[in-house]
Amino acid sequence: MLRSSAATAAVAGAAASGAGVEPVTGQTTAAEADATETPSGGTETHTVDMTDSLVFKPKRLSIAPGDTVVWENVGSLGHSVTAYEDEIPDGADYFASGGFDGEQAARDAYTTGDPESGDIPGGESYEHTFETEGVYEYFCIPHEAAGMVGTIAVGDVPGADAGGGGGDTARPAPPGIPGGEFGLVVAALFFGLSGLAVLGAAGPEVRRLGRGFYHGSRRLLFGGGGHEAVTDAPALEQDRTLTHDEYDPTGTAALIVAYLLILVAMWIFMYFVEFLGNGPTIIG
Amino acid sequence: MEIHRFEALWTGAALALIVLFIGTVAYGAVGAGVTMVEDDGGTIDAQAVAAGEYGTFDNFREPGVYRTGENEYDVYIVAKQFLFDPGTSEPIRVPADSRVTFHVTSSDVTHGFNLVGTNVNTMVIPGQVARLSVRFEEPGEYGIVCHEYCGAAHHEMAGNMTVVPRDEFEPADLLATPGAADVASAGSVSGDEGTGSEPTEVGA
Repeated sequence: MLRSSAATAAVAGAAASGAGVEPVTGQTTAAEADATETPSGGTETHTVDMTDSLVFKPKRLSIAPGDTVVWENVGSLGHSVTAYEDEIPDGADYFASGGFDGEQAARDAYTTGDPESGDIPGGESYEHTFETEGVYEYFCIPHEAAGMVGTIAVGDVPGADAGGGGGDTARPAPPGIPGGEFGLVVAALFFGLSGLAVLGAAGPEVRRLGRGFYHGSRRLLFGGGGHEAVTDAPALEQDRTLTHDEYDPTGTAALIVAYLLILVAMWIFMYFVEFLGNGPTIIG
Repeated sequence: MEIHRFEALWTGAALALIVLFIGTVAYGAVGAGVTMVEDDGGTIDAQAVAAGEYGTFDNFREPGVYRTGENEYDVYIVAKQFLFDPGTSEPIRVPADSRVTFHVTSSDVTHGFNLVGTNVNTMVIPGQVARLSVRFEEPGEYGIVCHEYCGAAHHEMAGNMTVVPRDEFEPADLLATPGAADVASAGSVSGDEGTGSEPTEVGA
């Protein structure tokens, strides 16, 4: 099967190349052009895209000394390419879009929409040629906080691809909301109370149900025990009549009271504990 | 129609509950002094905010902390993709036992402003200034989060606020030192609020 399909593919390929001679030769010349460019080495151009997703793509790039990196803004948001002054090799030229000499100067000057200040608007690009070997860490001024940082490794640098360093610069995490144990307790209380209320209200019915089940299963198991069951069962005759006001649905009342109590407890918890008790609040 | 006394009882109890619930909400507004964020912060030109032309506004100033009176501070915050200025790059510092009025606006899209775990919470709309006063009794640390989806890195948009003990509060935490002009302008601003605001404003 495999063999025959391969043969078909080969035939099809031959047919295609026979039919369209032009594209095949076109491809060959392109490949040859690549082949002639590569050996010259050290002067290659690499492209890093800057996107609206606030990333440098690729985030880490390894190049040879003398290579040029072009950062292209392929989105619509403005970005900058700014090196971390302390995270470039010793003796390397500082680089930043806008041509600043230092990180602080670049940070201070940056204004959205002003190319003079180091902003690279959508469609524009910035390039820098790296001569000194080592690892260069850089970032985008407006989106540094969003983690828009990148790394260029020039030459053979050990561990350049592994660590990357200052990738996610330490940012204090906002204090979280304290644990879920309390929620657990409230849930346990809620279901416990509901369970009790149901049992309390439906108690007599549950017992009656149980008794019916007992007699029913006896009848099934021992056959002919029907007489016994009838004698055991409460008499079906009516022994007294209740008027509307004499009948007290205590089970239903208990259920409703339990339900109202749960409502009140939840309300107190929600309003006084969760809302009013919740730290500083807006007072004006 | 005859209503059983039990039915009357639990119908009454349910109605009483509703009264109780509404009563507690009324207590929260009148007794505890909880208010909503209103529109008295005024409107603002978001593009001018983006360009940093703070001098042209009379309801907004350069982002930072200002002292406006005895134990009273104003904090001006610009929320933008994807940071709070100030707040994200360095924590906002205010002294404890003070009344802090936040003025928050956006220079690009709609953001949110929430001190995590508290009721201090507002939407930040470009073109409007959200004004909210908060009393910080105790020193503490709060996270600030944006809770309105504002773009690709919305989940990264956060900051910090530190309420420091009164004696640890340094003049360096203020953007402007308490000058006569500051206090005077603060006085006139609160005077305007007094005429325009609702009687729900408590302890102003």
